[in-house]
Amino acid sequence: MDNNLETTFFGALEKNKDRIFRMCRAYSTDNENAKDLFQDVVLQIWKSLPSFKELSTIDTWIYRITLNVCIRANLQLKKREDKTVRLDSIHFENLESGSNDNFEEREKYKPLYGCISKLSETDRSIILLFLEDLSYKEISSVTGLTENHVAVKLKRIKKKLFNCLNQ
Amino acid sequence: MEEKDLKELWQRSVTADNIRLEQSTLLKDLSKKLNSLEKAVKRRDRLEISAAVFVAVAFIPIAITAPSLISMIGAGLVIPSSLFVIFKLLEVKKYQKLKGLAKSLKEHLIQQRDFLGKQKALLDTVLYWYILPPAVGITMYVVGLNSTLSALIIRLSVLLVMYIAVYFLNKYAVKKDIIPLLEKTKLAISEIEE
Repeated sequence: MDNNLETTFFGALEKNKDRIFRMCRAYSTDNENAKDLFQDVVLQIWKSLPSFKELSTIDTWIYRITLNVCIRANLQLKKREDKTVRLDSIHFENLESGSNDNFEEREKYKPLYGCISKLSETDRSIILLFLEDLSYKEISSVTGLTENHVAVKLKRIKKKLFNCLNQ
Repeated sequence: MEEKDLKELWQRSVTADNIRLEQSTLLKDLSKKLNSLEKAVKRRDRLEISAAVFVAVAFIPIAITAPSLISMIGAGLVIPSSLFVIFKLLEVKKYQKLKGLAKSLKEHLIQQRDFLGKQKALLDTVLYWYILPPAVGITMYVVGLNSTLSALIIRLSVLLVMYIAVYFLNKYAVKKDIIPLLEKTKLAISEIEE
């Protein structure tokens, strides 16, 4: 196996694993579902890595794969059971509590995930990239929309999200 | 809540500490999983194609030993029609391999829509490439068998029921699996474009 490929894979995965999981969770009904989706994303990243041509940054490339896998799985939800990927070498710890054990903090995540899940598949992908702090240019590269289009859509989606959170 | 607070809250919801990767075994795990998935796909592909090859090969001796000219022509017609089925199946599989997950979201959705459109078109026209060509050959073969009228009617009725069942099973698959997925994909494309 190519050592460079392995180094790139592990470097990119370690750097982005939490982002990938957050996106997977936003497209899942629960944590178990999100774990399956995360493992599927990891598998697809490894499978597609030899064809990565550095036309974009590896992070942007990973977001593309993550969103495409998540949306594909969501559209074909009924068939997902047959394709579940289980990898014993990936461990999930304290997912219920997030980064800390603060109860109030934990309670804040629920409405956020709840409101995100109410958005359409594509609106959700755009707001997730925004929440991950990607620039308009990067969001444009991941989604295939122009930067202006991203800006217009984001304004609309943010309004929807804030309205939902304030209810 | 400010946008900045929202981003921070989101990014705190899952952190790198929540996910641990065992690098020493992950690649082995991934290779194993990829191999098993690829084997399953190859097995399914081989099964579909070998079934059509089996029919084509099986009809060679049947055509040679057919009791009448009409049966001989009928059995002979089944051979190219089976090969045509293989060609159609391979055509769709080739298109499926073009699907890339590293494309932009919009491109990926458009590709998925086109692929589903191809699948739908293939299943919508199943009568013309999957049912009718072998049906004509098999019906000619049965008619030329010099059997009694009642035996002929029974055989043709059984064949007719089979053809109708295959036709409606495909129609059902389109309605149940392909159309909902195609509609969802079209909706996602129109949402991203609006």
